[in-house]
Amino acid sequence: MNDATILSSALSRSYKHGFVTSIHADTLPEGLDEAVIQQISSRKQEPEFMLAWRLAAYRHWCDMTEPHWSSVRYPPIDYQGISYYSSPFAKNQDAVALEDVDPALLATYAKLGIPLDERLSLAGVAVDAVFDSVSVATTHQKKLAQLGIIFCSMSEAVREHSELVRRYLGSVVPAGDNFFAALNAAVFSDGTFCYIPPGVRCPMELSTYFRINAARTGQFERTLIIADRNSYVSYLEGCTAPQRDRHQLHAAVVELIALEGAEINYATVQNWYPGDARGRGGIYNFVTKRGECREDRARISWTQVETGSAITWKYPSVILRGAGSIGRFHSVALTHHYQQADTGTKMIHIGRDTHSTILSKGISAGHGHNAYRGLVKVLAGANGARNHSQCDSLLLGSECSAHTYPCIEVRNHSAKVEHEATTSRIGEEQLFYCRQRGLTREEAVALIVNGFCQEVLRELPMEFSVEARKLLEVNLEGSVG
Amino acid sequence: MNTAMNSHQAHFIAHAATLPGHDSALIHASRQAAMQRFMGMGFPTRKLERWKHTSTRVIAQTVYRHVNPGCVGLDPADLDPHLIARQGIHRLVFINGLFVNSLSDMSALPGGVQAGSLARVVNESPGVVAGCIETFPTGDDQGFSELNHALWPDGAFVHVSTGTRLTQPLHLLFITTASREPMITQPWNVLIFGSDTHALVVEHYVTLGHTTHHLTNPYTSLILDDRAHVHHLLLLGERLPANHVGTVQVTQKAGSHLGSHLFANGGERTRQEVHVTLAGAEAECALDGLFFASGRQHMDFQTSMHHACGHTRSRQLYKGILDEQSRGVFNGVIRVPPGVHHTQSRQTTANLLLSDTAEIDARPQLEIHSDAVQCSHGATVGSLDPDALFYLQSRGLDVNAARALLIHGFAEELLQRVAPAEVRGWVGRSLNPGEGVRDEDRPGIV
Repeated sequence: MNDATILSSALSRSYKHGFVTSIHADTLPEGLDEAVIQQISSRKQEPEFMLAWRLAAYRHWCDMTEPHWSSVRYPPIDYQGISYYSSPFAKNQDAVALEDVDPALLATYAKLGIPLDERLSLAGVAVDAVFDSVSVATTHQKKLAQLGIIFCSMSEAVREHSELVRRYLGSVVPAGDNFFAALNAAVFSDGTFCYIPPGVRCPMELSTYFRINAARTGQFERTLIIADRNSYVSYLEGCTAPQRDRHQLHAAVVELIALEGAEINYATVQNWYPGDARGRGGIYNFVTKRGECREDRARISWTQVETGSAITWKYPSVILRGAGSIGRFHSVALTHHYQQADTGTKMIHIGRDTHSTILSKGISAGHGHNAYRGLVKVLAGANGARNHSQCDSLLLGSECSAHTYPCIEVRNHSAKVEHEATTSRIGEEQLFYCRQRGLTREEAVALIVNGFCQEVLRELPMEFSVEARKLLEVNLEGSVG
Repeated sequence: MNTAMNSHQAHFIAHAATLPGHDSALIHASRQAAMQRFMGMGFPTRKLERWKHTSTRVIAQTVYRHVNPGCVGLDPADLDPHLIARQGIHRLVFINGLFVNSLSDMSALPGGVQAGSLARVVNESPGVVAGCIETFPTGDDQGFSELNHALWPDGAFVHVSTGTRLTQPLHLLFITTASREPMITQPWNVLIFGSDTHALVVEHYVTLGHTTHHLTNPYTSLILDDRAHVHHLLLLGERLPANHVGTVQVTQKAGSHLGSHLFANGGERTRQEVHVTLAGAEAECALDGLFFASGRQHMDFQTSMHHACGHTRSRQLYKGILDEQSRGVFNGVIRVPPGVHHTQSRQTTANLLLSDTAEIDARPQLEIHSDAVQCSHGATVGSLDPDALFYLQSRGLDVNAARALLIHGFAEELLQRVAPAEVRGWVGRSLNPGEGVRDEDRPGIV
C-alpha cells in the first residue's frame, strides 16, 4: 500500500460509532414554543415547580441573543428546526425494568462497548445510559442505594427527590446564565442526578453514556452532582452519535456542588461525530459546565479529552468559594479536518487560600482550529490564592491554527498567578530520531502526541485513559505526511 | 451621538479649510474619511473586547477645546527639569501639540536628517506621509486614532535619509500647559528611517503647571526601511488630571531592528496601543514596557505584533507595578497568518501588586495560523516575596528600604535595556521624583 491508500483507509475507519439504530421512537414534532415545554414536562410527570422554572427560562431565552464572541464559525442554527424530545420508549413509559427494554437498544450499547447488563459490565463502574432525550437504564442502583448514594436519571430525581432537586438545580448555572444554558433549562429532557451523602466514599466509578440517535433532534441533558460533606465521587462521561450530513445541537448543562471537604472528579471523553473530512455534518457541542466548591476544603477536578464534535465550545469552570478549596482543569483538545474547538476554563477565586491548576493541551491537524480561552479571576477577599496555568499547542500541518486567549484578573496582592503557553509543531529532530529507531512516521507522530498529552491522560480513570489514548491515535491517522 | 462628538465634528467642519494639508486632495480625503468613520463608530465602549477594562465614558462626555495656534508664552527655563541635557541633544518642543521653533534646538543635526513641524512639511509636500496613511489601523475599536487622523493640527516630522547615523538622541518633548477648561491635543508624529540608518528617538509627554482634565490623543507612525536600527523611547509622564490615549503604529522592512521602550507613571487614565507589522524577512522587534500606577490611576497597554513575513523575530516584556487603588491592564496579541513560516515570538508580562486594592488584568494572546513557528508567552502576578523582604531586613535594612530595593530590582531589568547611559540615568530620574525632577504630584518608583 502506498501512503495515499494508507491515509484513506485510516480516515474511512476513523469514526466507528457512526451507525444508526433503527428503533421506534416517540419524537415531538420540530419546533419550540411554550406548548412544547408543557408537553415535555407533562410526559415526564414533573411537579409544578419544574414547569414554572422551565417556562421562566424559556421566556428569558426568548429575550436573549445568540452569542458570537467566540472564535468558532458556523451557519445560523434554526431553533425551530429541531425536535426537542425523542424517546425510544412509548408515551408515559420512561421508567422500565431492564428486561423490558427494547433489545435493539441494549444491542446498541453493547456495540458501543457499554453493556447495560450488570453481570457483563465492568466491575466498579455504574452507568446511566442516555439515549436521545431519555435515560435508558441505570446500573448498580441497588448496590449504591445501600450506601445512601442516589444515582438515577434526572427525570426520576425530579419525581422522587424533588426537595434536593429544588434546592440545588440551577444554583451553580442559573436558568438565565447564558443563551445555551437558558435553552437547556427550558427544554432539558433528561440527564443524570447524583447525590453522595456525608462521609461516603463512592465505591465505584459513576458514569453517564450519552448517545444521540434520532435525526434532527437536539440533545439537551442536565447533570447535577452533589457531594455532601467529606464525600468523594469520581464521575465519567462519554458520548457518541451517528454519522449524518446535518449538524446536530448538543447543549447540555453540568452542575457540580461540593460541600465541606468533599471531592468531585469529573472526567469526559467526548467523541461525538466530528463531521466528515470536508466538514459536513457533526455535532455542535455547546455545553455549560460549572462546579462550585461551596464550602471549605472542597475539591473539584475537570478532566476532558475532546476528540469529537464539529464544534466544541465549552469552558468547564470552578467557583472556589470555600476557604482552602481546590479547582483543577486538565484538557486535551484535538481538532482534525474542519473541526473547531474553543475551550478552556474559568477559575473564580473567592475564598482565601484557594488553589487552582490549569493544564491545557491543544492539538490541531488538517484544517482544524483550536483555541484555548481561560479566565483566572482573583477577587479581593481571596488572600493567598494561587494559580498556575499552562497551555501548550501542537500544530500538525500548515493549514491549521492554534489560538490562546488567557485572561488574568487579580484584585488581591497576596495572590500568585502564573500563566505560560507555547505553540510549536513536532520537531523534525524528534521525528527523525523516532524514525531511525524503526517507527513509521505515523507511529512516531502518535508517540510524540501521546507524550504531549501524557500529563492530562494520566488524570483519567484507567478504563477511560485507554479509550482516550486509542481515540487520539485513530483521530490523528493521516494527519501527517 | 452626543454633544462631545458633535463638538469634534463642528470643529472639523469649521477648520477643515485651515488644517494642515487642506489643499492636498490626499490629506483632505484622509481627514474626511477618518471623520466619517469616527462619527460612525464613536468612542470605543467597554463592549468592545479590547476596551473591556477601560472606560472612556468621561472622555466621551467631555466637550474639549481644540488648541488654538499662537496662544503660547513660555519661559524656556520652565523646560529645564524635563530635558535630557541642556546642550548637545537634538530637541523638538511642542506646546499643546503645536511645534514651537524658539524652544527647539536642531542646530547640531547632521546632514541627511530632517526634523520639524509636520504641518509645515505636509503643507509643502503632502506626498511624504502617503505611506503612513496606508498603515492606519482600521477596526471598530479605533475611534481615538480616527479622531486624530481627522483633526491633527501638527506633530513631529522626522526623516533620516539612507545611511545616516544619528549619534545623539532626538528628544521630542510634548508639553501640555495650564488651562482652565478641558483641552484636547492630538499630535500626529511621522518618523521615517531610511535604509541602514541608526537613531534613538525619545517621545516624551509632560504637563507644566496645574491643569484641569485634559486629553492627549497622539498618533505616532514609525517606518523603518531595510536594515534601519532604531530605538524609540516613549515616556508618559503627564500630571494627574490628564487622560492619555495614544497609538504607535510601526512598519518594519527587511532586516530592520526596533527597540521600543515604554515608561509610564503619569496621568489619571492612560491607554497606549503599540501595533507592529513585521513586513520584511529578518525584521526584529523588541517591545518593552514598564509602568507604575498608584492612587486611582488606570493604565491600559495594548500591543499587537503582526508577523506578516517569514523569518521574523519579536520579543515583548511588559512589567507593571501597582499600588493603592490603581488598576493596570496588559493585553498583547501575537499574530502569525497562514503561510508565514519560521517566525519566533516571545511575550512576557510580569506584575507586582503592592496593595490589597490594586488590580491587574493581563491577557497575553496568541493567534497562530502556521505550524512552522516558535511561539511562547508567559504571565505572572504576585506581590513582593516575603522571604526576600525578610532576608533584607535580617541584613539590617528597614522594611521600607527593603521594599524599595526589591521594587527597584524588579524594574531595573527594563531600565538596563536603555542605552546610552546618559539617557538611562535621565529616564530613571524622570520616573523617580526623589532624585531628579521635583514634581510633588507624581508618584515615584522608589
